[in-house]
Amino acid sequence: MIQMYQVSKSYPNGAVALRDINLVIEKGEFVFLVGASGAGKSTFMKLVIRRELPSAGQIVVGGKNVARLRNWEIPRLRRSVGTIFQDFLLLPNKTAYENVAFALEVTEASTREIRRRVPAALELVGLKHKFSARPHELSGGEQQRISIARSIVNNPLILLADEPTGNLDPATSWEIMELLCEINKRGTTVLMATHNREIVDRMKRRVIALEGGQIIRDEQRGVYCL
Amino acid sequence: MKLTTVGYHFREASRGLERNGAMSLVSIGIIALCLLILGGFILTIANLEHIAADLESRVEIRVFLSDELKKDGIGALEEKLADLAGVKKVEYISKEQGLEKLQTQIDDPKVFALVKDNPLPNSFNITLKEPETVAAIATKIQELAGVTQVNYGQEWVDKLFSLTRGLWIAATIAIISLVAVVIMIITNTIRLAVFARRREVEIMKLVGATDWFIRIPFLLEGMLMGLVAGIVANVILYLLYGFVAGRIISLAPFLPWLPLGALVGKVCFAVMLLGMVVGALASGISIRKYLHV
Repeated sequence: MIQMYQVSKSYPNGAVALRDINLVIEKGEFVFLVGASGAGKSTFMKLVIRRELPSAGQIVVGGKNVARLRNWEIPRLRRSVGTIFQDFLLLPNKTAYENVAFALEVTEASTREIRRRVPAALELVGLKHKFSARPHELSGGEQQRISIARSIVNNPLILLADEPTGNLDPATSWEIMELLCEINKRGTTVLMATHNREIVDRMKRRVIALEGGQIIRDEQRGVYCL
Repeated sequence: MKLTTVGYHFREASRGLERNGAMSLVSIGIIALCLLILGGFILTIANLEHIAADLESRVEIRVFLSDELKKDGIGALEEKLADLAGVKKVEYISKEQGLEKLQTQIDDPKVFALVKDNPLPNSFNITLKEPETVAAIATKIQELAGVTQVNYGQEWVDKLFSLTRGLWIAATIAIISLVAVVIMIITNTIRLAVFARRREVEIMKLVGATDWFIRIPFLLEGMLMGLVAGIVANVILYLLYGFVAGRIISLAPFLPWLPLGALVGKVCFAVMLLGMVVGALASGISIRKYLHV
């Protein structure tokens, strides 16, 4: 689903974020990306959805070479990759329903399609009853659920989660993890960057550890650190 | 583009205005004020120009004839004058008519009691197609046989022309710079409004919206703001012109002020169009910066 071949990324100011990354993530995998701040996790994510271009190497996402995409092809890539973030990135003046519907509206989905899929997504994250609430009326965990609903409403192949539990307490974090597992079971590949050692150790999934922009460890059923 | 999407764009644009209420109101207010000042200025200039043009159209040449010229000669000269390029109308005023005119102007029989026989010469009154040509035509007429003197109030006319030319240049410069300032202010106002929503744009990009999909509601919004501001400016302009013009006309009824009709309508239309076009353009330009995510 995601393949990287000798990918490097350095920024114009000279900082090297990633160095010679080679990896393959298969369809349906659940992968943790761990490492200290500045290890290159965010850059990794940005490369997958083409918010940044690699300085060298090839990235293939869902069979498409990301670096070679034309500008008008980028939206299609992003529609096939759902993203959630530590700070949720919800639109503050839209309701929960509108925030989720938004991801479908940009794909020019029909009104009927939107009316069918948005409630289903909200139901999956367990917030069907709060569809008319605005983000500031919801708790952090609930906001993250809304953003998860938004990220999966158009059935993406991949879900990128950039520290999705970073702002949440442990109990809420686990609820979010259960949700991500559920989504993964339905066939979506999940790639999650995190600092949360407890979650990584207990989930026993594939762990890719980054340090200084390089992969220092990549193991199935891994733990946060040895 | 699908019909659903068109609906979406209009809904988003109007909701955008509504949600960013205070910001939108401030923007509309500023744009309306800009357009009002511009419109008021244009109307003032148009009036001054109109008055100047009216004064110019009153410029005429008096041609005095030698007494030796008899009826045939006068007729021949009249034809010659009428054939001159730039001459609009030639009016013959005989000695007797001239005296009559003078008598109506100087309403004092004692003055005319002193006069035994008519001292006035025969003359022509010439009006011109283009008042600016007066000096050149006067010189030509001077050279014709039978003409003793040509008079067109040289000094006065020269002053009038340099005044109106100065007015025209000043007005052109002022209007151009005012339009530029208005465009800059509107652009800046809308840039602020877009800046306030850069996060929204970023999120739209993240969920895979195309650039045009993001841009269109903003363009519509800018256009709508310009339109509303234009209407507000027009209403005020219309009322204000009626009020101010009424006052001024009663102060100086002898000057030919423009009526509250076609021209005001044209200026209002132009002002509104400018508001809409600049509003849309400014939105388009402002948003470009945030689309590169």
